[in-house]
Amino acid sequence: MATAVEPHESHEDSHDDWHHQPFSAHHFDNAEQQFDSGKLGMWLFLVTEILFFSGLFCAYAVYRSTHPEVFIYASQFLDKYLGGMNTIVLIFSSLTMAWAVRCAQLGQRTGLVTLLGVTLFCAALFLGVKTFEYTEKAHKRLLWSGAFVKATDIGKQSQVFEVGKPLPKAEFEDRVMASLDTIKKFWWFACVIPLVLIGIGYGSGSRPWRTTGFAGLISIFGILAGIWISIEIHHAQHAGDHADGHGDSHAVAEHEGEHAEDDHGEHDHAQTAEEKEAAEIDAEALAIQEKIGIEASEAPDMILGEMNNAIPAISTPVVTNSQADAPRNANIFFSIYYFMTGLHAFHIICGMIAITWLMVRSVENHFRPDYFGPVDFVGLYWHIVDLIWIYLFPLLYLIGH
Amino acid sequence: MATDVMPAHSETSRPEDNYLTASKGIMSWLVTLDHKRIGVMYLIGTMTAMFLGGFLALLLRAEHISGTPTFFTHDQYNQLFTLHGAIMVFLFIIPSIPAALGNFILPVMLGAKDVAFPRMNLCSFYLWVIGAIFFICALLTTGLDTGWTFYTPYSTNTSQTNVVLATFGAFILGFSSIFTGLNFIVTIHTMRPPGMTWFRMPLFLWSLYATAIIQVLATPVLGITLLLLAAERMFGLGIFDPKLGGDPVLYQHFFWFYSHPAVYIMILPAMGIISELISTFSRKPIFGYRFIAFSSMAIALLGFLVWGHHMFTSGQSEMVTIIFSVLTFSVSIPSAIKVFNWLATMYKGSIVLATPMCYALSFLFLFTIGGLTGLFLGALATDIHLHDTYFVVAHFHYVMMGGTLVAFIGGLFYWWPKMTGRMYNEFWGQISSLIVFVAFNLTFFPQFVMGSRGMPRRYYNYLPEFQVYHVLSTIGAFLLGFGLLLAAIVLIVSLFKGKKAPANPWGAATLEWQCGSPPPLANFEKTPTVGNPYDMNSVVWDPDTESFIRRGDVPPVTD
Repeated sequence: MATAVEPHESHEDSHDDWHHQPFSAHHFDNAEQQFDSGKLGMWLFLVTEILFFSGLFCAYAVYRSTHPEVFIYASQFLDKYLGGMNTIVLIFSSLTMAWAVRCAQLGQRTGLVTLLGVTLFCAALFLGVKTFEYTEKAHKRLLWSGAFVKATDIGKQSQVFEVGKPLPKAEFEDRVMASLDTIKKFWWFACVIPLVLIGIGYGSGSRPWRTTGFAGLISIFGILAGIWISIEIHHAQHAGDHADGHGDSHAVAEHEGEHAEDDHGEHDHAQTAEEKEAAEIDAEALAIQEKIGIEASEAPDMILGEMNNAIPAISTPVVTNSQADAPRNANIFFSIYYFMTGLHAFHIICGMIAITWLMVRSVENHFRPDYFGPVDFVGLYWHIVDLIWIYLFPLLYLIGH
Repeated sequence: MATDVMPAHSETSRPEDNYLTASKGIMSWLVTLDHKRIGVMYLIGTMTAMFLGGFLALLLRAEHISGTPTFFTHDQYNQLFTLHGAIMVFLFIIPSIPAALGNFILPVMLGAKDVAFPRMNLCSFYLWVIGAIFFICALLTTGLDTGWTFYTPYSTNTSQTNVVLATFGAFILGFSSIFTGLNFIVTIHTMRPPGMTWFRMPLFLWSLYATAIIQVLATPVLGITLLLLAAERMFGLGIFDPKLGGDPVLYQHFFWFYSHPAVYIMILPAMGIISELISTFSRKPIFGYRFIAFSSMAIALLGFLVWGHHMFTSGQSEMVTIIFSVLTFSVSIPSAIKVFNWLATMYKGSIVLATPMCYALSFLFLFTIGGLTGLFLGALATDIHLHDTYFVVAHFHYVMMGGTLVAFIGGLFYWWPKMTGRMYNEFWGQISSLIVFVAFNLTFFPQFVMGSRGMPRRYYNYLPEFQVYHVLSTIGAFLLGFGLLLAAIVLIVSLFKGKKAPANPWGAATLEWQCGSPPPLANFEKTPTVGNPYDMNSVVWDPDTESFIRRGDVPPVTD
């Protein structure tokens, strides 16, 4: 009941011992009420998240119905194996997250920290794969509609995309490339930050700092592993195939992300000497392949539609190198693709921050069988992020397959 | 739930007992988690925004004193009406009643110690502040000239103003609104004390609950829409640009999917306040309690199904417009249920014309006109003629201002003694409500007339035959500004000269009057007795304390 009792004025009351627990909020009557409120609040937040994405799903549905040929054509440029791997990784991370909640409920601290670490690693793996995908697409010029013109030009003059030849002053392109170069030079910064955190942690004897640092390292190695696996999958698919346009001389050495972020910053895949070597070998091989195949596959990567006439829908997807098959406004697909997956990736990053926070608190032994709300709530959030991806994957990657 | 009752404090009048004096210093306010202080900070913020928006409105009306260019260029005029609309909608009306009055009153009315998530509550306030800063930055740099609706393609391809800045401002304000709504839903679900069943909740809480549902369900859609808009403008996403394969009408659908429910975010809390005022000042239990409660929920639900009525002339299919028109008419049913129940409450009541009641009666009149003219616009044939005329402007001002703002001021006068512990000057309060009522009608009724005769909205000049209406409207607007200023002065003066307020000056039976004025930090000195919130017989005037107190001889009615 609402009464004017200050927390320090203890009364002989059944809830008082609860009110003196370290994480009890004074305005709740008991642990159960606090947990129920948190749980309902989290579910409502998830409802807002669903609605937040619903606008994008709605846009997707509208454009899928009005431009079916665009979706059938453009989706073949997405790698369903990478997407599928990401799906598996995320579903697995949902399992570990749910298991972590169980550990928190049972008070198993070691299991909790371990499982949170695995979940974090899976999240980073996902981001690594996304990093590779985005970079590869940027190289192939598979960008959204307005990426090839100055923003001021959009809508002011009719814009004709020339396949394979983006406009010379494509400002976005320049910006992306410049930032990629910067990231390429300074990728090792990303490792410095967690190492510094760990150093501070050991120096000051502060466990939270140390835990944060280790979580950062897990994230970075996860991203690196994701990029490395993506490259392997990519090569496996295109082994013996023609060079597929991302194989310019510095292709492989440029798998960095668009979602730069301090803790889980972006960096090159070349984490270790061996990896660097492998990358160089890859790059050389690709360069050779490209020289051989360049005639055969003249700019296969541009799918920008022409403005003059709409091409009828392609009923069966044919991986084609001919621009004549590119339907008009094909890049609307990539507008939707980047926005949906980008917003999803942002949610993954938020989830990683939340999981890091949970790891810090678990190491501090905050969670007990009578107080595990935060783990449960972050778990719910993580499942919704996973669920959204489960919808995104078939909608974007599996069209016509 | 707790069943034990903690002993009450023996001294209830110690000054350090109330929330205003519990701690001192600016930081004790800026980082407070107390819902009452957050409500007061919200009140100051939204009132500031209201006077800024009102000032812009007066500039607009001043421009229309004659049909020829007077004070501003056409570009400046565009900026004025855009900023007036955007500031009034995003910074004032949407957060005014829920975030300012609701934050203060909801937990006390419910009998809870605080809202469920005090930190999120404070976060919501600071998001409001950040959003306001974005808007002010847009205002101070290049302004904004898209209209508050940010319609594409003008907002993405043509406008030379800082659309992205304002867009992000609105985006952030959306999250502020979501946090408020989420907090309210959870608080009402999980923080009710024993005895506070759903049907013992005061109707203000029912309306806040319905509002919160809309806030949680609709606002994210605005968030994603504004993100898409910003991406469209910055990167040329193409979603809304026909040249890149997009569709500008899709933007309108997205926008109104939020912004029509948003007008119910604006009006529902106002209706909740009116339910409290009418019942209290008629000294009579509210008539048709369940009907009013459920009609709030019905309005919240139907509000999601009518967004297309903003787009009758946008080229959507005829079948769709007919369906939206029918659904629009259906909203009038729950609205009318409320109005008739309020009238039935007043019937044979002993009506006390205190200032809040004067505002409530103004509300009844103005809201009814506003609502009925909405039917003119919901009817397809008339809307084709009235679309984008001053008729529309008058209609939504009758509802938003004559409805929400008037109810907000009424509620502010009503709860002012509770919030500040001071009584305002009743006479000048009544005068202010009279001026506001008369001036409001003088401002906006002529706009109905000229709108139906073809005066388009958002025009910077006009033909000579509209001059008389514009001049009337302008005179009314300045008078209205004076009336609102007077109301503000009455309230501010009361802070320094007002009598100390008793715990229950009006004789209401809801829980917030059972704690002191101002309430103590944890809201109640004594455990409140939860009974029928509209049982006026349970309180009686006590000359000794000059307050209403609970009658000892009447047991609390249990439904």
